Amino acid sequence: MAGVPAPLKRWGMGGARFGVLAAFVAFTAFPFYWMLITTFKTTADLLNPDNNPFLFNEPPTLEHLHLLFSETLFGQWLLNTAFVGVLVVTITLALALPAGYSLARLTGRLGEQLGIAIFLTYLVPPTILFIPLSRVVATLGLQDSLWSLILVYPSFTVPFCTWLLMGFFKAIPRDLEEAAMIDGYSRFGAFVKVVIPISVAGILTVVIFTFTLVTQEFVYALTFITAASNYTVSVGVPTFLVRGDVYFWGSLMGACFIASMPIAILYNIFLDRFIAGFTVGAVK
Amino acid sequence: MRRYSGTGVSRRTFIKTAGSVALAAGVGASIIVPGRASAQQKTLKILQWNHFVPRYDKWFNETYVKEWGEKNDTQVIVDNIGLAGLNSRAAAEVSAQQGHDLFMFLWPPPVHEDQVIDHREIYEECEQKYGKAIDLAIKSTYNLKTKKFYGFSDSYVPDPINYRKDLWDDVGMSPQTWDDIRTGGRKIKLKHGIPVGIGLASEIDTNMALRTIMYSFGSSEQNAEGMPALKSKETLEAIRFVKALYEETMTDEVFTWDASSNNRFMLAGKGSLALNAISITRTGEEKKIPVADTIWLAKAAQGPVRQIGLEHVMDVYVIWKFAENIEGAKRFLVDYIGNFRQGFMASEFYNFPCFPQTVPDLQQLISHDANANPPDKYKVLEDVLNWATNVGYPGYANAAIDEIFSTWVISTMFAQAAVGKLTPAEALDQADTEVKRIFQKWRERGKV
Amino acid sequence: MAVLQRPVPGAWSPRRLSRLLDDERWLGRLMLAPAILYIALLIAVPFFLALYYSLSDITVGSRVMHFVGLKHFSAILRTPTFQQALKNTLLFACASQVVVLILANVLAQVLMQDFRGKWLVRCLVLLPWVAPISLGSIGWLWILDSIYSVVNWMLQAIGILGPARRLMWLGKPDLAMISIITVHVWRLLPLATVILLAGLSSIPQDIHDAAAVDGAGFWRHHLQITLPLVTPIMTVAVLFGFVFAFTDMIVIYVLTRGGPYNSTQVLASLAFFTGIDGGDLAEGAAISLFLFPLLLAVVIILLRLARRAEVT
Repeated sequence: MAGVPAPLKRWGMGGARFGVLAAFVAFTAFPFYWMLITTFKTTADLLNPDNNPFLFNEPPTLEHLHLLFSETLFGQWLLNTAFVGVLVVTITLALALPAGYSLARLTGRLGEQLGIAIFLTYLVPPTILFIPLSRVVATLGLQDSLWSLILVYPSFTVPFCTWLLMGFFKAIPRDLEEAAMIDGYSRFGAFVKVVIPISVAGILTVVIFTFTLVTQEFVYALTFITAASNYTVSVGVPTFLVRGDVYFWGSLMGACFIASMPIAILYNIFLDRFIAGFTVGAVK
Repeated sequence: MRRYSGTGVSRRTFIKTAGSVALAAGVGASIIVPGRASAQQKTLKILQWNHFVPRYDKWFNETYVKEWGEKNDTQVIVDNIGLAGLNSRAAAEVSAQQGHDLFMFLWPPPVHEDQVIDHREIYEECEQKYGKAIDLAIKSTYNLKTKKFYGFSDSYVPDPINYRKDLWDDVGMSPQTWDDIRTGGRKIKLKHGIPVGIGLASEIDTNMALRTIMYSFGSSEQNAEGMPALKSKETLEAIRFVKALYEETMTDEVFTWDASSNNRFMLAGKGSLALNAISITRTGEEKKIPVADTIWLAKAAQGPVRQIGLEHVMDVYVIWKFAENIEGAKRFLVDYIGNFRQGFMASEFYNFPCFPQTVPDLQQLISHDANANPPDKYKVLEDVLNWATNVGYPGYANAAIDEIFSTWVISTMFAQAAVGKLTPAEALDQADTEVKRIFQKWRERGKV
Repeated sequence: MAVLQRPVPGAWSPRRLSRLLDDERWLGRLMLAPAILYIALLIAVPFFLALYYSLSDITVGSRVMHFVGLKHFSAILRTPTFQQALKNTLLFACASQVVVLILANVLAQVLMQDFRGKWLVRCLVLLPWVAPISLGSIGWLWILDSIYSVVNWMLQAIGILGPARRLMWLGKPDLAMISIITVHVWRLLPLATVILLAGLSSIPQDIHDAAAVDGAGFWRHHLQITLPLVTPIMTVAVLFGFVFAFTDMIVIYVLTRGGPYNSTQVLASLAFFTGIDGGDLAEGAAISLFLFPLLLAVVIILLRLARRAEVT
């Protein structure tokens, strides 16, 4: 167990820990439990105000999922989202890893100021920025193509990831790189051979957050893409399952659940394997 | 000896990522090229909303445009988008100077006047072939100042009263005037605990309902010449009425509403009256919800000055100046009007014609609907043009009216007075300042 | 055991030192450049264009614009709606982040230990962030609905609410504000927790062991050893959580659209209604630009805090 101070292992903490955990899990997860049930509830069951929202009061049904997959292009949207996500993660890592390290170790005041500068791109929200960006996208001929998203998304994932990686890198004691450089590695070599492996947990976190930032994004996906077959999940689902003033609740909640669960599970799988594998403290 | 751990792991990650990227690239390649029309054939690109009646979209997208396309040697592409995204998409297309040939709004878009063609000839051709367009269409698409038709309206959606006949019969009343609604609503609430539902939230149903009340009390945001005219004794009276209506017949749920809330309100059996398009009754019929049989429709209520209501949505097509196939777009619209009766049927009476002669048997159709219970439930809509008007009554729709609508000025005014945050006079003053400011802004831009 | 074959340098001679420093300076710029260039090339022009919009009379339907100076700024500063939006933006972002900070710290500490079911718990805790905002907010719309609210149902089941009582989560100003803040916390807690977890994991165990050997109690250990080490990362987590809450529009749009009567209006949503729906793009841009001084102030404060707590 890395990083746990000895006192917490005391037996007495067990009960308090359980209580705390239960509260947190209840808070974060109860909407998802509700979503899961609602996905399989008949509409009549859902619309009856006297019914228990957490149980099936009438037999569960697959009709909402059927509607989701057969009447909309949900499967295609999932693929599109994954496609954009993977590429944007790659681009983001390629840009943010060196930048984060540079900000953490190599550049002083100027670097900090530049870091703040790229951060300030957040202050004009996409709800306004999309208009001049549409012009850029159209000039590049990427209108209605997923590549427009792949091009534009790093603009808001890179600042976040750069800062995140900077934070992780700063927490690593400098001695490790110094030791490597004494061994004959260049600074860059030390970065690649020492720092990156140790920060794998951090890098994985960055990957997962970049991916989720991509799947969340709404405004650019809505305005750059027109054809339904090119939508991402975030835009496609509300567009087709909220018609005027009619919400298709079951299908909506099913879509939300299906879009979220795999990512959470994947993240957990990878996190365990990577954290278990690394050994810090090579300076002995 | 020192060991630097983790290198093996990062290599594995790299291969995994590279592999998935390669896979995705293969998938992606088929996504990149949208595969639109070849150079020879003409293309027509249309953008419109996801109709609340999915059957309409099926008919339009899969049957009608394909037939039209074959007759006119054109490939027609229809993209659908949600209501909420229309304005954003329009702004993006204008900025990029690239987009669809036909863009459908659900409200008059006067702010885009400079970006669209003059739609006059479409109206002229349709009037020649199919008879006169209704006044409502003209006032929603014509700029008095510049004398330009900035849009073409093919249809509108009426906004009748939806009420629970069983409850109203029980107190021996019917909602014919706004006073009836107040009195009857109060009686029903006292007797059955079921309130009236006129929204007081920042959403489209509220916007329409409150303007209905305003106009029927003789008050309005602007006068017929397009000058701001909110501050008046009539408006004050309307605010006082809504305050009383809220206190006597409603609950505070009306502050939480969005466009779908009054549907749920009525269909859950928790409401005695609401103003809405026919989506409530149609949903009830389709999902076989028992209470739907007791929900009847009624014409707009009579106010102290007049009996008037609003349209719920107004379909307005625009053709961008930068569209690639302007002629094709015009032709499409004219032909569509000729075939409007099919659209009327496919939309289950949701889309009412702006060119009434295209659906000559409208009265019969709505009087004998197989799905409705009773079959003549929709008959009240037959003379809807006598009691439906545009946003901006008694004037024309314009950019200032549009912004007032979108920034919830009127809804906030009524809501703050109803809940008691401000007195009716204070609420009116605050709203009036804002209305005047907005009009001033657009006047300076030469749009009003 | 691998033995490195590279030539081992001698002592730190001045020439070698200066070469190293030079290398590092250039290396630093080289490593930072791609990111900066990418953003500059892609965003710079649109970004400054958006700034210029706020000083012009542009609308969504025009491509011609004239400079009008600070007219929009002075106009909106006087409207009650804007003033309310400004207050709310700060309130929602600050309140949600304070709550997130406290909760994330507690949760991260707990998750650092091993226990049965940890895998599942971590999964469940991550879910709110992973769900697309648009869909998650629609879910909350139902959970807070005036008729069907799941929260009301639960409160009634426990007996806190009477059988006929329904709380209007989105209809009363204070309840609406609490609802919005809660949704932000719900969404951003996983972000902070996971980042903190990664940060805590990278603290070498020896440091903890050394402190234990020194006999540090739990609180002293936490405050003097752990906290300073994770402060850089925590700063980033809070900073970005703040930004996401600050610039959010979707949650407000789906749940309240700024209602009831503007009590939950924020700058981002007001900018959208005015600029895009209402058509007055210039004023919309002006409204959203008010995010700038606030954001800048927050960034500077947080950076100062982080630098002071930094451990080399």
